Amino acid sequence: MPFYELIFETGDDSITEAESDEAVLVGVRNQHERAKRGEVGGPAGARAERVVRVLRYERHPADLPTAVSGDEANARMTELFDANKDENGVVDLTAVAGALEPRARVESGPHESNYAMQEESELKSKEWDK
Amino acid sequence: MASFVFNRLALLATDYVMGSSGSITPPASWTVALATTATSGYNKSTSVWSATVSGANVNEIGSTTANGYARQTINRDQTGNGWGAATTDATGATTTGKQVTFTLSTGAPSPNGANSWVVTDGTTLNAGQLYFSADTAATRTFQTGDTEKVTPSLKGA
Repeated sequence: MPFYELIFETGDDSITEAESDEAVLVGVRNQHERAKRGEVGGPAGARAERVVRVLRYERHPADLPTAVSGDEANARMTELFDANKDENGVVDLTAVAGALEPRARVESGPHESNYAMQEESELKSKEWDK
Repeated sequence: MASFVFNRLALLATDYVMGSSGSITPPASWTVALATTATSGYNKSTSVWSATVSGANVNEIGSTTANGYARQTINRDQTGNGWGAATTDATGATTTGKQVTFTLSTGAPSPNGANSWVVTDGTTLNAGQLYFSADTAATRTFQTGDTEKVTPSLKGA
């Protein structure tokens, strides 16, 4: 089943799993309409939030591969050595080790994707914001 | 609000941080899950994720029918997507993770009714390591389109 990254007007985001685009839109419309009416968004009583973007992924975007080809590993190591080398060419191996693992989430603008994984597609906002 | 730390988190300190173990290692990123079970039933050593609500098992909402439920991710770093640098006082050191939002898109999940949140790893429901948990303020029963925010915090004493 595909996963969807919902990006809210506040800049918050959420990953949700649904059978299809139409299925996820049922919930997106529900939350979005509640926000427009100033209603609560869930059982904890917090305000509902408008949804500004819905991005589709074939798998959970936190599922980044940690096993890569030798060529990819070499390229990544070279990149990290260069990034952690001082003016004398001395490499900080502790810094390299810390940066070696992939990061699922990335720093981004408030309404940009929050994941390193590239989304497969994006749903059109007219489907829930009418 | 009761909280609970599983042995796996302690093992990361004793075996990985202190001994650089190759078998007890932290995940590339953390995930946050919602469980139908409460921390009062958990056991540091024997609790595991399970579809069966029995003994010290930890049971995830949406594991039979997700209806939109999915685990949320927190990086293993100190950016705004991870955990803040800890604050310290005479009682210990406290770090707070990124706030995550759960969305129940397409209907009510089964099982439903969250009584605790759990910091775990992986994205497969009812699977992965258990690190720490805390009870929700009340049972959260979800319907179509509902959202729920969780801000996990950990104090090392």
